[in-house]
Amino acid sequence: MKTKRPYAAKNFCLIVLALLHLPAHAQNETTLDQLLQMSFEDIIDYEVVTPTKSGMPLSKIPGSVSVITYKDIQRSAATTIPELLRLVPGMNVRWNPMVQTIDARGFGSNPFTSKILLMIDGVPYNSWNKGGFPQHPGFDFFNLNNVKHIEVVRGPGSALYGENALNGVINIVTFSGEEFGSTQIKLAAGASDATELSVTTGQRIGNDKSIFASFRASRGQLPSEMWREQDAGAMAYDIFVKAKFNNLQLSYYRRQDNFDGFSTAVDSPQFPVGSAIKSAKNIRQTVNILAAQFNAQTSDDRWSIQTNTSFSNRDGSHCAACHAPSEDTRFQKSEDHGYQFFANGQIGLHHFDRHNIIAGLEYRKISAGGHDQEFLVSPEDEDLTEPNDEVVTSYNKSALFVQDSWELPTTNSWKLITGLRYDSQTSNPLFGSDLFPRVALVGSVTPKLTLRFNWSKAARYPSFTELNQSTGFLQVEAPNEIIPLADFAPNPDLKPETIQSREFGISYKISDTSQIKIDAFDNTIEKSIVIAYPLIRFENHPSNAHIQGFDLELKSKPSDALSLFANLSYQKNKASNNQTDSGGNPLEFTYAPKYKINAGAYYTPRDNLSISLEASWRDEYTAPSFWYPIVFNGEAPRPLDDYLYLNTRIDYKPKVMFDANRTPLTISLIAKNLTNERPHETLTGLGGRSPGREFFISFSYAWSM
Amino acid sequence: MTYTTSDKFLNEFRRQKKPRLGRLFKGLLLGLCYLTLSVSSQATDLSEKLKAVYIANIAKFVTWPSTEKEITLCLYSNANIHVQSVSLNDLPIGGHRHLRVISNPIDYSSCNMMYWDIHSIQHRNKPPNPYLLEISDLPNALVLGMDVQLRVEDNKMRFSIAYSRLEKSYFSISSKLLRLSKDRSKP
Repeated sequence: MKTKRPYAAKNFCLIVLALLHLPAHAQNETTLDQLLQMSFEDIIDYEVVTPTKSGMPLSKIPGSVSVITYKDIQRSAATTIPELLRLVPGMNVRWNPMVQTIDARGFGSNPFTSKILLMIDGVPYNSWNKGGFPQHPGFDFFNLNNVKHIEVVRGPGSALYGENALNGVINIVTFSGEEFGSTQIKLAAGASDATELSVTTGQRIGNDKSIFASFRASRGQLPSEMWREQDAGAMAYDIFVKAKFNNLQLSYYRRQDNFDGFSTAVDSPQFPVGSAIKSAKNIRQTVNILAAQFNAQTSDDRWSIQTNTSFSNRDGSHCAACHAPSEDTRFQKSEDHGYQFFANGQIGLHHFDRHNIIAGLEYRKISAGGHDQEFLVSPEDEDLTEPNDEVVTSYNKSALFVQDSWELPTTNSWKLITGLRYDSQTSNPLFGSDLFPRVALVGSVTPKLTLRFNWSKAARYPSFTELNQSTGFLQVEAPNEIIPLADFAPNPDLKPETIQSREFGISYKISDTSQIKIDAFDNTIEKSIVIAYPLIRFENHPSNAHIQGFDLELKSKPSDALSLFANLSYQKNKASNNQTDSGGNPLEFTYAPKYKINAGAYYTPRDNLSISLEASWRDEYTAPSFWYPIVFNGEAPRPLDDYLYLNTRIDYKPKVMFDANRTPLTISLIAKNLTNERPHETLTGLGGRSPGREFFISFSYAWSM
Repeated sequence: MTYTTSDKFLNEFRRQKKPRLGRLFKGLLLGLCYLTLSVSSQATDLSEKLKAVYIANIAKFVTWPSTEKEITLCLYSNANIHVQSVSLNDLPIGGHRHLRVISNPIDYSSCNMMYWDIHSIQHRNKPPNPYLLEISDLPNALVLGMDVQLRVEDNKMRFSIAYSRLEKSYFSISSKLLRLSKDRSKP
C-alpha cells in the first residue's frame, strides 16, 4: 500500500483554489470566436458532438475516439448497446453465463470486472461491488431508445476519469425531451420467445424546460445455450425519466430483472450421476440510478461550469442464487447489494491566451452493501450466517484533476495537451493515493492530415468481489449431498493493476466522402489481476504484459444512398518474463483475438426503405487452460475457433394514405448471426456457446404533438 | 489460502479519521457552488455555436440587390442560438459588408436573413418574402418554404438549399455555396 502524501494533496488543492479564483473568463470547448476564424470548409467538417470533458472535436482528440451516432443506432442491426459496441474498432464484446464483457486492447478471464469505465451521461455505471456492470446476468443493460449517441475512447482515461478507465471509456449520452420531440411506441418479437413493448416520449415544456421518459417491458432468454436449452426466461422492466430545467438536468433510471432460473446437469466422472448446478427460482435484481447535472456557461462564452451528482444502488438476489443449492433459503431472499454516491464538479477556464483549462474535483463513496455472506475471511469458515465485520466493504475517495490544452504559438494547428489527476488514499485504507498523468500532441500537417501522439498512465482498482469473494456458495447439488465445486479464496492484499500507454494516430481525409484513420498503441500493464486457477483466487500476476497493436478504420459515402465502413484491429501480446502465479500459471492472454474485423454497408434506395448489412469477425483466441479438460473432456488447451457474426436489417416505412410525406410507421426485420455460428465466446464449465441464428420483427409508430 | 486480519490493521482502520483531502474537497465544493450561483449563465452547446457560425458563413456567399453595407440577421430571442447570434453583431462578412443582428423584429422589411427554430417558428406568420433568406433547423424547413435547412448528419453540421426557391428570389447565392451544399448534403 502506498503512503499518504498529505502535503502533495494540500499543494495541489491550493493550486486548484488559485485557479478557481482567477478572474473568470474561461470555457472548456471551442469558442465562437475560434469557430468564426475557421474557413467554411473546415466548419463543414467540424464534429458537432465532442466527447464529454475533453470539449474537443473528434479529429483533434489525442486518443482513439469513435462516436456511435443516433443515425448509426437507427440503421444498425444491433438492438443492444453491447452489440453496437462490437462494431467499433478495437472493441471486444463477449457474453458469458454471468455477465457481458466489454473490453478494448485487453485480455483476461475475469467474469465480473470490466477494464472499461462505462458512464451514462457522465455518471459512472460500473458496479460498485463487482466493478463490471451492476446487472448480472444481464445483457441489454440500457434501453437503446434513450440513447442519442455513444462516445467510445480506446486507451487509458484515468488522467480525467480516474479508476476503472484502464483500457477505455464509454459514455452513453441520452436524449433530452426537446431533442427527442416526439412519442414512439414499439412492439418487437423474435427468436427464443422474445417480446418487447416500449413507449418513449420527449417534449419541450415552455421555453427552457423539457421532459423525456421511456418505459420498456421485455421478455426473452439470455444469449447463451444454457438459458435457451432450458427455456429459462428473463423478464425485464426499465424506466428512464430525464427532466431539464434550463441548466439543471435531473434523471432517474430503474431496471428490474426477473429470471426463471435453471438446473444444469454436471456431466463429469468427478461427480455422482444426477449431480446438477441449480439456481434458485425467481432470481430478482433491481438497479436504481438518480442523477443531477448542472451546466452553465457565461453569456460572453468565456467560461463554464459542470457538476454531476448521482446515487446508485442495487438490491437483489445473491450471486449465489445462480450457483448454490436451490433449496438454500439464504440465497433466495433479496438483499442490499450496495450503493455508490458520486459527485463531480469541473470548471472550464479560458483566461490565458491560447490555453483551454479544465480543473475539477471528484468525490465518491462506495459500499458493497449487506451481502456479507459472499465475503468471508477464510474459505474454511463454514458459518455463512454471521456477517463478517473484518472485511472492508466500503470506502470514500476524493480526487482532483486538471487538464490544459495549449495551442502552440508557432502555429494554430498544433495543440499540446497535458493533464494530471490525483486520487487520494481511500478513507477505509484499502488503496493508497495515485497520480495519473497524460501528455499529448495533436495537429494538422495539411488540411487533410492530422497526427496524434499520446502518453498516459491509468489504473483499475480491485473490486470488492476480487478482494473478498469466498467459496461458500459455489456448490454442486448431488442426489444425497452438497459438493463444493471449487475453492475460492479472498485476497485482501490485491493491488490496483496499472497501465502505461503510448499511442500514435493518423487521420487522413481521402476525399469529401472518404476518411481513413489509424491508431497504433504500445501498452505495458503491470500487476494484471488474474484468476489463479485451480485455487480460484484473484491475484496480481508477477509478469508484466506488453501489448502492441493498431486499429485501422475506413469510412466512405460513395453516394447519397450508400454508406460503407470497415475496420481492422490487431494486437500482439507478450509477457515480460516467465514468472507464474500461485497456481503455477504463466500470464495467459485469454480472450484476446489477434485480429478483429468489422464491416458494414447501409443502402437507402428510397426515402422509405433502407437495408443494412454488418459483419463482425473475431480471430481464434484462447481461454484459461483450466477450463479445457473440464469443458472438452480432457482435451489439451488449444485456440478456440474464429467466428463471424453476419447481421442484417431492413426498415420499411409505408406511406400514409392521402399524405405521402408522412411515414409514422417503421417496420423492421432483423436477422442476427445469419451464418449460424455458435462460438464459445467465453469458456466456462456451463454451456457457454452462442445460441445461433435469430430473427426479429418490430413495429415502431412515432408522432409529434 | 487463508487470510487473517491483524489487530493492528483493525485498530488503525477503526481509528481512521476522515482524510484531510475529504475536508478540503467539501470546501472546494462550496466554492464551486458559490461560483456556479454567481455566474449569470446561459446554457449552450457546440451545435448552437456551429449554427450561428454557419449563418455568418452563408451570409458571406449571398448577395442582395441593395448596396447596403449592413446585412441584417433577424431572429427571436427565444431561438436556441440567440445568444450566439447576438455575438455576430458587427462581424465583417467580406465585400466591405458586416452583419447586424436584430432581435424580435417588428416586421421583416429590414431583415435580409431570418432564422427559425422550434421555439421561434410560432412567430412566422407571413408568406415567404423574395428578399428574405430564411434559414431553419426544422426537419421540415424546406417543405415550409425556407431557403436553407441546417441539420446534423454523421456528427457534422450539414445544410440543404431549396433550389426551386432560388429562381424566385431577389438575392443570389454564389456557386461555391451551392457546391458546398451539393457535395456534402442530401438533396
